[in-house]
Amino acid sequence: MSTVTLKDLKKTYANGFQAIHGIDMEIRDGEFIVIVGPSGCGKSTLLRMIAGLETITDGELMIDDRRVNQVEPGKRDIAMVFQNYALYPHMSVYDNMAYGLKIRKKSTEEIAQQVNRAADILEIGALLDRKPSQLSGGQRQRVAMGRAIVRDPKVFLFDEPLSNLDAKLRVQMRIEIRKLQRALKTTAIYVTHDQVEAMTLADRLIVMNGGLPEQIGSPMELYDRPATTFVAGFIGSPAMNFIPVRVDKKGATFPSGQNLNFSVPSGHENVLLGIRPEDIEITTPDLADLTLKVSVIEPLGADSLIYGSCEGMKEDLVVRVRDKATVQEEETFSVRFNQQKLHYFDPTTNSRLP
Amino acid sequence: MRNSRRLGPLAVHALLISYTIIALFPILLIIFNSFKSRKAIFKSPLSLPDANTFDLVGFEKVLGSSSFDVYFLNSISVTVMSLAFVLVLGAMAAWALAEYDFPGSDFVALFLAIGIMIPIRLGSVSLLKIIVSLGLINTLTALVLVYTAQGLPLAIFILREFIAQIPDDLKEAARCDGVTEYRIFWSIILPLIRPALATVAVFTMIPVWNDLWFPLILAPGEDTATVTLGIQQFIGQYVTDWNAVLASLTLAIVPILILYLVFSRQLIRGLTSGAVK
Repeated sequence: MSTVTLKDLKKTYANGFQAIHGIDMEIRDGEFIVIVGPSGCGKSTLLRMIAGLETITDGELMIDDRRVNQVEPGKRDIAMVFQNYALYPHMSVYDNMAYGLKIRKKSTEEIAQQVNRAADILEIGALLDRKPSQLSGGQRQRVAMGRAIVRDPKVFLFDEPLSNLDAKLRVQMRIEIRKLQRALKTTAIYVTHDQVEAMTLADRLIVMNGGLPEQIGSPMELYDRPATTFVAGFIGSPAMNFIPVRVDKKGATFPSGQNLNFSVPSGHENVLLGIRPEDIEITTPDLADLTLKVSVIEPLGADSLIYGSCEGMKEDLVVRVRDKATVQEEETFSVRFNQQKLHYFDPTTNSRLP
Repeated sequence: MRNSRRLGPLAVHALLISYTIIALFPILLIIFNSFKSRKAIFKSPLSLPDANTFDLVGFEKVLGSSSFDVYFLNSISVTVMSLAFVLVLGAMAAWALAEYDFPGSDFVALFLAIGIMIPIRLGSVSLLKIIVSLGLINTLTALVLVYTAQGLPLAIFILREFIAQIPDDLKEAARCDGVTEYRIFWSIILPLIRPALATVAVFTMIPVWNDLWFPLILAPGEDTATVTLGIQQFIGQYVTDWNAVLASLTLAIVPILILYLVFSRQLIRGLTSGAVK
C-alpha cells in the first residue's frame, strides 16, 4: 500500500562509471512495475538502489512521503526476492520465513500466524520443516516469495526471480506472481531481461538502455507506439523489422529501388520504416508492397515465421503467418504491409517520427 | 590399457599406506611401550605388551606422584582459550576484510600475510620483555595471548577465503530482512563457515598443545606448567624415567584426540549446499 517516487535518480560508481543517468518516475500504490532491458543496462542497479543495497549518488528516492536515500534496507520496509533465492541454507523453511519477523521482535504467535498464512497462499505448508537443500528449484522460489510475503512490506522487489527455473515452471510461476500481487495489492517492482515476462506482468514497464529509461508506459502502449527503435526492437517477439527508406523528390523508395505505395513523414531524406512480423501478410503480386525470397521457414505450430531476403537489405524480413506457411524455401513471394501498423523512426536519432 | 589404469590408484594407495605407517609408527611405539615394564622397553621395544611385560608403573607414577592433573588442566585451558580467541577474533577480522572496503584494509591484509610468513618465535625476546612489563610472567594469560597472536594470521587468511565464497545475495537478503551486521556475522556467516572453522581449529590447536618453547620461557612455574613442560621433569641429564615419559605422552594424546574428533565431524559437512542454485 505504498507509492514510490524516483526523482532524477543517479548512480555513479567510485571508478567513475555512471550506471544510472537519471530516472524520474512515480509508481502508484499497488502498481506492478517491470524494469526490462538487456544485460548491463542498469536495471538491477536501479532495483538495488531502491532496495538500499546500492548507494544513491544523486537524486531523491521516496517511499510514500518518506525520503529514504540514506535509510538502511531493513528500515525501508521493502522485501526483495533474489534471482538465486538466497535462502539461509542452515535454517528450515519455516525459520527462513520467520527470520525477518524474529528480527523485528514479533511475538511467537504472530510469527506462526504470518508464516502459516504465507505457506497456505504459496502451498508450501508441507515443506516447512525441510532445509532449502531438500527443495526443488520451484519450491525454493516459493519459499523466497514466502519470505517476502510474511513481512507484509510496502514494496516487493523482484530481481529476475524466474531466470533459474525451467521454461514450463517459469510460465507457471509468472502467472502465480501476477495473481499473488493482484490479491495482496502490494506495490511491486520487478526486474527482468525477458520481454515476455515484462509484457505479461507489468501494469507499466520501463525499458532501460545504457542507464537511461528509453520509454515508460503500459505494455500495449510500448508495443503499439514504441518511442525509439530500441524499444521497438526489444518489445515483441520476433522483433520488429526495420527497413531503411530513401525519400527524394520523386517519392520514397525501398533499398531495392522499388517505390513505396504509401506516404512517409516528410522532411527527412532517410527514414527507418518499422513493421512487426504479425503486421505483414502474404498477398498476390498485384497488391504487393514488396517481393521477398524465402530463406528460412520456422514452423511454430500455431503460426510460422518466414524469413525473406530482399535485394539491397542486409537482414532478412520476418513475416508471421497463421498455420502452416504456404510458400516453400527459395520461392519468391509478395507481401503487403498493414497501413495502420507502420512505424517511422529517424535513423540518426533513432526516435519515433510522428 | 586396463592394467595401466589400475596401476595408478594402486601406486597412490601404496604410497599413502606406507606414509601412514611411517607417520603412525612412532606414536604406536609410544603407546605400546607405555604399558610395558622398564626392562621390557629396553629388551624388545618393538613387541606388544604381553602378560609378562605388562606394567602400569608409568601411569601410576604420572597420575599418583606428580602434579600432572595441574599440567593437564593448564594445557587444556591454554589450548581451549587460545582456540576460542583465534576462532572468534579470526572470523570477525576475516569477515571485516572480506566484506567491507575500508581505508587501510589492504594494509591490514598484507600485515597479516607477513604474520604467516615470519614465525612468531623470532620475536621471543621482545615478547618476553612485553610479558614481563605487563606483569604476566608465569601466568596462563601470557600463553593465551601469544598463542592467539600466533594463530590469527593464518586463521584470518583461510577464513577470509571461505567468507568471500558465501554468495552476496545471502547477506543482502539478510540486510533486507533488517538484520544488523553483527547479527549477520553471528547467525548467517558463522554457521556457514563451520567446516572452515573446524579446519582452522585443528591446525591451530595442535602446535599450541605441543609447544614447549613459550611455556618454558613465559610460564615455567610449577603452577602454570603445561603437559609438555611437565614431561621434562622425567627426562634427566643422567637418568630418564622412560615409563613415566611414555605414559605421560600417551595421556597427552587423549585430550587432543577428543578435540580433533569433535572438529572433524564438522569437516565432513558441506553446509553451503542449497543456499543458492
